[in-house]
Amino acid sequence: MTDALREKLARLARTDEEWTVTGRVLAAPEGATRESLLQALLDEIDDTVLTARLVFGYGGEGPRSGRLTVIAGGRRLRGILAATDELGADPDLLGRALDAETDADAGTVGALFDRFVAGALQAVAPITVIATPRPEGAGADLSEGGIGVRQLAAAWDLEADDPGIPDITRLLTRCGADLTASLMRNADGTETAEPDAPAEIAATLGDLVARADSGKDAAAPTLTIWLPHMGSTAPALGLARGAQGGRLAMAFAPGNLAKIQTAWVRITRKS
Amino acid sequence: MVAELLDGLTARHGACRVVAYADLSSRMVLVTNSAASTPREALNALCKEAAAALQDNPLTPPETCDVAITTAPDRVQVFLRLPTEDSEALCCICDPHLDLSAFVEEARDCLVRIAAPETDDDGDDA
Repeated sequence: MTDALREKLARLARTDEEWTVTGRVLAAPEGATRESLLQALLDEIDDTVLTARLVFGYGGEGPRSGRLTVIAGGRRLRGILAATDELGADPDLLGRALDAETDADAGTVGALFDRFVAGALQAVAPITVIATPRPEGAGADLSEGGIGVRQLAAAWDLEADDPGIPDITRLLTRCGADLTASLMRNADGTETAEPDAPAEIAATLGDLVARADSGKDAAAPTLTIWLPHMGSTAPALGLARGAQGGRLAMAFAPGNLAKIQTAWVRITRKS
Repeated sequence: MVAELLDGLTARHGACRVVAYADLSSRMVLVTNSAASTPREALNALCKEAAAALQDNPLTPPETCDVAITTAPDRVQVFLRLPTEDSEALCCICDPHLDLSAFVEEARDCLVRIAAPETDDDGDDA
């Protein structure tokens, strides 16, 4: 079984998905920001290994709604097929392969997605997606080229996907809101701590970071998570060792396990 | 019976390649899922990692911890033990795109069922 097929099958078997009549929910409106919504769209493109047509939408058929139809594959945005009028897509952009060699397409696409996200924020509506594998008809020929997720992240100024930023900083950017407390020790020894962490948890996180520095853990980049047994009120603890040498100790509710794990896998996997 | 439970876990989670039932006190793997082709030396190393991750954990008190997960770019290792019996454990090697929350929940249940005393048809301990 190829990695692509294995990944596709795993995605089909996911059990933590929420669906509405307009598709699978990518991002809920509660607490959403421009960055978090763009990151959700970027993650969906990054997860699309086999060529697929993705229809991103918000607001259903209501007056404050938008829909963006794209072709993605190989973790790249191959092309833009259609956009609803309020998104103001450049007609020249639609239905052709996107050019990764110049920044012009990335900039134009970035602006289009920015308007989509701004519309979703104004509508206070979830962003949904419907993915159709092996698209036929329009877009069927867009199976090569396109813009990679790193280039898109740069166009959107998404710090969490900038490979020039240390792994642990990117993890904290993505998951900071899901943590009860954190302590980050950068490679240069400087520390950033969650100021409101309870004293006992802060002490535990300090011990964790110190233990990682003693070299007991496996080679970086690694993330180790410890969960309390069911029924315990203790928080889960995590320790990320960045490829660049930093450490991030975290305390979080066990229910946030999947979010933190998925974010780390995305940050550290090789594109 | 144990092998069937391990096979059932891997059948439901295609991203899980190896599940080993181990005794942490002796650092020995007792049973693996049928499809696992991992060399014995690698299984023993996995068992040692499980013991280190579960027994040397930072939770307070340490007995509170029943699951430890280590994620590298190419694999996720999930180690589980019973809250009441810290020597019996499951050691799992999975692909990174594993549905982790669902897997942990089912693996916990799997370990409980393995450790439960077998009963005969009348419901008595066998």
